[in-house]
Amino acid sequence: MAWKPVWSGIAGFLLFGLATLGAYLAQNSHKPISAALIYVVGVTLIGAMAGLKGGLLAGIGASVLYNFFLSEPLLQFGASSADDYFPLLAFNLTALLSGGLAGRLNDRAVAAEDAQARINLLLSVSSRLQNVTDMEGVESAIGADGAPDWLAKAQFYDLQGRGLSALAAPHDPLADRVCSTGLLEADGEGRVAHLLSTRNGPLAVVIFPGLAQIPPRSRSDIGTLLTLLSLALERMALLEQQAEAVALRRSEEFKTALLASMSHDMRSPLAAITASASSLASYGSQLDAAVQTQMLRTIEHQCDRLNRYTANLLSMAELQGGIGGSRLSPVDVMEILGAVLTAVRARSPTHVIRRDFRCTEAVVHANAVMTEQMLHNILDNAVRYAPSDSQITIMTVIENGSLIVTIRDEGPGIAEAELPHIFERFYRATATSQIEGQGLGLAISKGFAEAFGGRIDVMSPVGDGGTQFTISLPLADAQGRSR
Amino acid sequence: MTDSILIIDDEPAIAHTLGPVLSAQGYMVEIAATASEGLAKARTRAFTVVLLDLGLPDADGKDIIATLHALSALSVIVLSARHQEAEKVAALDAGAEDYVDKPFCMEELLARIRAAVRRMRRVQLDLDEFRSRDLQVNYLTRQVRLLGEEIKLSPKEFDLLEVLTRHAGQVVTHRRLLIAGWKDPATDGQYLRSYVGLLRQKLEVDPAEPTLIITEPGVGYRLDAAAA
Repeated sequence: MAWKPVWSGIAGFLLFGLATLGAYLAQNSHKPISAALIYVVGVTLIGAMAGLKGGLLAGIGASVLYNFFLSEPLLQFGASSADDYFPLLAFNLTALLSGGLAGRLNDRAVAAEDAQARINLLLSVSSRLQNVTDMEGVESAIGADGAPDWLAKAQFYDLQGRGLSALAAPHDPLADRVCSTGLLEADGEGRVAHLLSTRNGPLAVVIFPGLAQIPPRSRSDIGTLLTLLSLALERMALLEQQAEAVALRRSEEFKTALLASMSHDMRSPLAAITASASSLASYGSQLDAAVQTQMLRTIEHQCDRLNRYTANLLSMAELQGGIGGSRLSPVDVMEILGAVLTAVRARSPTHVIRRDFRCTEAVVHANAVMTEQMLHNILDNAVRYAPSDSQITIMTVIENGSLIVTIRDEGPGIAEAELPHIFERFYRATATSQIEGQGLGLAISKGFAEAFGGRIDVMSPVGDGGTQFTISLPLADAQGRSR
Repeated sequence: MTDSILIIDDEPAIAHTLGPVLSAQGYMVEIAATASEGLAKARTRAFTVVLLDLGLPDADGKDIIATLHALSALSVIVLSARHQEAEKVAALDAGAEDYVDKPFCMEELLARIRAAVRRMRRVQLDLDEFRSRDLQVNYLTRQVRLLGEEIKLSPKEFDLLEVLTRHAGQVVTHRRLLIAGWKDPATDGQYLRSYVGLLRQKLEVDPAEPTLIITEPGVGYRLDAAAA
């Protein structure tokens, strides 16, 4: 019965009054044994309700009143005859003992309930901390139901005193102090700072606001909490390291693929250029005019190829470094698409490029030059891989706040086994590997689309064969941000 | 009068290829390998066009654009890399009249030089109208004729078309168009896109694939040189 102290005090006084009244009435009806028993029962009840202190207080009070008002001689302390001593002594002892024992029992029960609640909280925090991968997760774990304020509002700092969690200040001098002394530190506002560390050394600082005002009994499991938090932070650090290792490995793989690609895609055009240029320089006079022109065109064409390759490598580097929001602004994709179509038509006049535009404007939060390249790469693929007199259909429509552009060709399609790989960097489909290319175009298009918050999907074969690419880009709202 | 061209580029292979070709086209050509050498040459004589590389050894090319303009009436064409659209726009906003992406083919460069020279002529003559094969724009009466037929334009549409035709064949940045139409470069680009869309509706054969008012992604618009 963990009542609030005030209420259990008032109830204790009422009960004490009632017991006194009962004992007085019984005594007046010449039933002294009942009187003593009523009093003892009252004191026991008070002890059970109000704890050890209340029980002892009631026992002493009852002894005094019993002695003074109820036991012979009346209105006097002590006993008049030896025969009266024993009931008095027995009453006093019984009242004190029963009040005290019942009180202690109650205190134990309260303490056990409190301990149970604290253990439940620790268990709940611990199980929640088990799966956290970031600071946000830690904050929500310690904010579990029933968590005291000092825990729920804990702030985390790195070892330079910089805030790590949402509730933390950008920088906290108390955290600094803990880092330099390595000890527990508190400040005038009752905030207590602890160093969170593991075998491998200190990890971070946690500050519990208002913890200094909490009685020591209620924060006895702070050590366990600190261990749990340290373990969670250590696991997070390990996960981060692991992610970094994966990124590093990917970047190594990328470098290897890049070098392989460069040795092929850079050297082949260079070889053609060198051969043509040196032939013209040394033997130009012995060659037909037609052959000379052919060689000059070869040089031009291979330079073009090198130029496209360098542009693609630069785009890859841009994607690798991440495209910052500062490079994005509202771009009307329909306008860019118009410019790309003009360029593609000029390059390949024999393809039939059919338009099915169901919107005239589609403003997306993007980068204009990258949008141009994204669209160009996919259209250029259609033109290069589909027969020269075939039809390419471009459809645009706005659906659910996104611009959808589908580009469909009547080419040979893509083998099912190769479909999942076509967006990978440096991937070339085996069936078309004789067609010039480095396997970068689609990877770049996809990377750019994703940088604009969109995506590119592919379906093949569609209809009688052929491939369909679907670009979907979220429209920008009036402020120019992505929805 | 022979038009003269100053090439400021530290790459000798570029400068010495361009030199003979431009001379063969009837231009007077001078070559400078640094910004200071270029400025020194520009002080000694008046050039019609300056081909300016942005990455010079002694200065950022765009920092000398204002100085070049202060020396004489000339047109600056920036030679830039395709990927550096921000650099390009900064140079254009600093006063360059046009740009050509490196690597470029000769036809393209010559077309840009011709457009620049033509604009310099028009500025000298202070013409009241623009006239191309298909398009006529009278700046005084604000009348526009396409294939001989009068086209009604709103005042704002006309303001935009005026800047584009005055720079026919050259790129006009978003910023310059916003100033021309709204007197404020901070105006929402959405208005500009809408008005260019309206102009295309009235002037283009196929507004979805414009051939007269060409989009320069991330930079601005260009009235096609062939129409000029």
